[in-house]
Amino acid sequence: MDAPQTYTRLDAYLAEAKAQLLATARVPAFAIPSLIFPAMFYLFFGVIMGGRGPSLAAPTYLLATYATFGIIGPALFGFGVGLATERTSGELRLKQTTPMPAAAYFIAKIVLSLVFGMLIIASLYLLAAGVAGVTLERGQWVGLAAVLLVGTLPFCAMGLAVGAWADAQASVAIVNLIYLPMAFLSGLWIPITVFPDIVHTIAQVFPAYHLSQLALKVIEMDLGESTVVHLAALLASTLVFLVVAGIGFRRVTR
Amino acid sequence: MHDENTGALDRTFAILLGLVAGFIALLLLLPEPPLSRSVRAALPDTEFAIVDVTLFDGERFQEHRDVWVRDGRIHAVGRKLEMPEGIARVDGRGHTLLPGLIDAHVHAWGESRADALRFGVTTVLDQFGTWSELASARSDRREIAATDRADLFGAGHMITAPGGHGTQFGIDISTISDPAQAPAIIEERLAARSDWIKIVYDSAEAYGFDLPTLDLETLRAVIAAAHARDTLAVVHVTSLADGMAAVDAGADGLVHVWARGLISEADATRIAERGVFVSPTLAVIEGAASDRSIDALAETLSGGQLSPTQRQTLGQRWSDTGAETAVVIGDALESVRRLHAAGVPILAGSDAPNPGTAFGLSLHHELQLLMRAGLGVDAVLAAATAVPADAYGVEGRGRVIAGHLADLLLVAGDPRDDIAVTLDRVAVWKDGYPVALTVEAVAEDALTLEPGVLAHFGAETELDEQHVMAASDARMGGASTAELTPVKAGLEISGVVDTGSPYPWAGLTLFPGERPMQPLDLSRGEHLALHLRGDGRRYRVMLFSGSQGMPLSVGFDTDGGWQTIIIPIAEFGITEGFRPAGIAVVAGVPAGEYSLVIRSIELGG
Repeated sequence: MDAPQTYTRLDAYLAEAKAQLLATARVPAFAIPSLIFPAMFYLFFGVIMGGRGPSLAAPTYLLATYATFGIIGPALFGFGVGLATERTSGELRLKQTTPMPAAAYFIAKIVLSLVFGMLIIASLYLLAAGVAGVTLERGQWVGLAAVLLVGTLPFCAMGLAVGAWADAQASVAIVNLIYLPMAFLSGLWIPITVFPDIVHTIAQVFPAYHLSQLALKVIEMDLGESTVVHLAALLASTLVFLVVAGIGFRRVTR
Repeated sequence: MHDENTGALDRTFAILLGLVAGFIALLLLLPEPPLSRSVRAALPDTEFAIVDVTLFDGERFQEHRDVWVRDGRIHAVGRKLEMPEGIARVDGRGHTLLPGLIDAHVHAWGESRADALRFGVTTVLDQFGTWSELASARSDRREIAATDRADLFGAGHMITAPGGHGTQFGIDISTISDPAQAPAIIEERLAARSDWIKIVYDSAEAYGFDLPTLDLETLRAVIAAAHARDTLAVVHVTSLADGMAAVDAGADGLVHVWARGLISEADATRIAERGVFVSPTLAVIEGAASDRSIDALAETLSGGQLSPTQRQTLGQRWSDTGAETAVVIGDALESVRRLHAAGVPILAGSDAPNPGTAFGLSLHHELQLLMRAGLGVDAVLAAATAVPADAYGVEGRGRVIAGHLADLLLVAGDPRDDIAVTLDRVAVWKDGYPVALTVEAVAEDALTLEPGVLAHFGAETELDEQHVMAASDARMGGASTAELTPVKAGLEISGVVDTGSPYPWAGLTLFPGERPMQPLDLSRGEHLALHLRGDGRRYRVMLFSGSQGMPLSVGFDTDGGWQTIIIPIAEFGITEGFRPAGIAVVAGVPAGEYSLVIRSIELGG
């Protein structure tokens, strides 16, 4: 008889990651729009409309902002809606009874957001370079991707806060209510410079604004505000969301 | 069983790893900015020397100098420099080397920075432009690399009163009407990365207008707020009174000299004492005169130096009457002479691309006008090099000294004999790389059209004149008409054909390129397909080019219903050298009304 197979911790993480990836991929109603909408929007507004005229400034600028928009979605929905659904359906409780480490659940969701993030960034990059003719220095291509991928974390935290409190149905509404207005008012669809000052002031409160400014810093098209301020805002909002999420979880398991 | 599970997990791990690796591979393969076309063929040495040349270093002339360039910067300047054997040497005898010129007043857009560079203008100071030009210019000027365009520093949006000068261009700029708003508007300019502050203090009364303008208190407040942030404040004026008021309000510089009125010596001295500089922009003022001299200057240029845009802006005229403006330039020249005599720093600026000006060329014209105003050749050349560099704090440019950027202009002859020599460019270097001097060398490639939809119309079609417009023989003296109306089924082209001219035609013109009249290469397609509904008349598809006379056309009949008309490209009979720049669908004889609804135009492969 063979020696008993031992599974390592890594196997547990991988298994959960695979399970969540498959589960998401099997809901094409979520997966496909998440991947396609950012590319579609960028194609329309960044490439076709923004690409008029000889300057590449518009498609380059909008690449950064639409990519920011794109990577926020999977993080918010994955954590916000995904978590709420799994809580409501009892799936989460089921997983809690297994030897799977609790962290594996969250790591898996983060991996999921990052996988989607990479796919979205890749699709926008291909559109930018292949269709609009955008060129950036190698360091900028890499740096922008890095900033955006790391930047999904505050939105994972935001989604976590929503998912810890809301049930499955409410979470969909709440995430949509947050996602789209926040994206719009942070200047992710239409450059923030187009809006009156009051919008710029309001935007300071949104992590999406700060992330998009950091992304724009990589290509030197940001508004010139301090990097430290943006990072602090993102860090602070992450902490706040984590605390909110923590309270929400404690409430449930009490 | 166990093996299957671990196998599956290993597979998952492998897939995730593969995904990450693929992503990283993509990042490393994405395109970087290309080198300019002129250096594509063979990378030149970035180390070279210009030997035994007459040098104007930004302030004065020096004879028999060697200038050693390395890695995009001027490495050394001196007499008989000791340099390694292998360096490429340019023989400077009989030539003069100047710092790359600085145009202190432009409004850059499109290809203008490239036009400027071909004329030896390596830096432009933009006095009112869009944030996107400024943003892309900032990263350009940090780099030392081969390029086909001049560096740009800019004021971004200018600060003006509600409804005042600057608000009429359709660009949404913020305005100020209250001194208390001054610090906030300065913050806004700085956040948008303006390199200095430009303020409008002008009712344009001198030109017969009565525009709203800032009051003196607001002007003072804005200048003070700019200075509180260590930022230069220049003021646009067109009258002497406004100019003196701006100087007293603390302006660091004045842009434009007044069209009327002579400044008194006392006032000129006051301006000099306050350290204020003036950028007269004689080129744009003289461009309004009926006897303007720019046209003759443009004719002295050999072929291929002017781009279509430069020719277009040169050809435009202000609508003023000539007689009035003949006086203007005389007064302006005399005022400049007095300012210079009093010691006021004079900066050369063209105010391109206003009518009668062109990027690059007009700065040389400005130099000639400054000569006419009585500035000596040293002051004239300094006005386009060291003086604007110092006035605007532009680093590393405007002088030929060790450590500065290798932005250089080599001309045949000596400007001290004839200032027009500055146009006789033998070489231009930017960041140490040579620049193509003619438009042909920076060849305008025809846009290759890939098979696909060239145009698709519906009710929401926005008629953008860059791409789609109505056209008829009226432009050649005929009387036919054409009107375009978006409808649900497509685009309706309708009008009346009038047979009063030899070649009656009227209809739709399509420019599939990035800009009107961009040459096209149709060789990738086999046919043109038009999906349309006619009215029974006969129509033609025309291919026309900018310069080659008669268009090529092929006719087709319509039968009143929806049709797909296929026209093989070969049927047009495109000959070698004919470069189509637009596609037209037009009605011709017989005379009468016509109406055609077109849904789409495709290039079929």
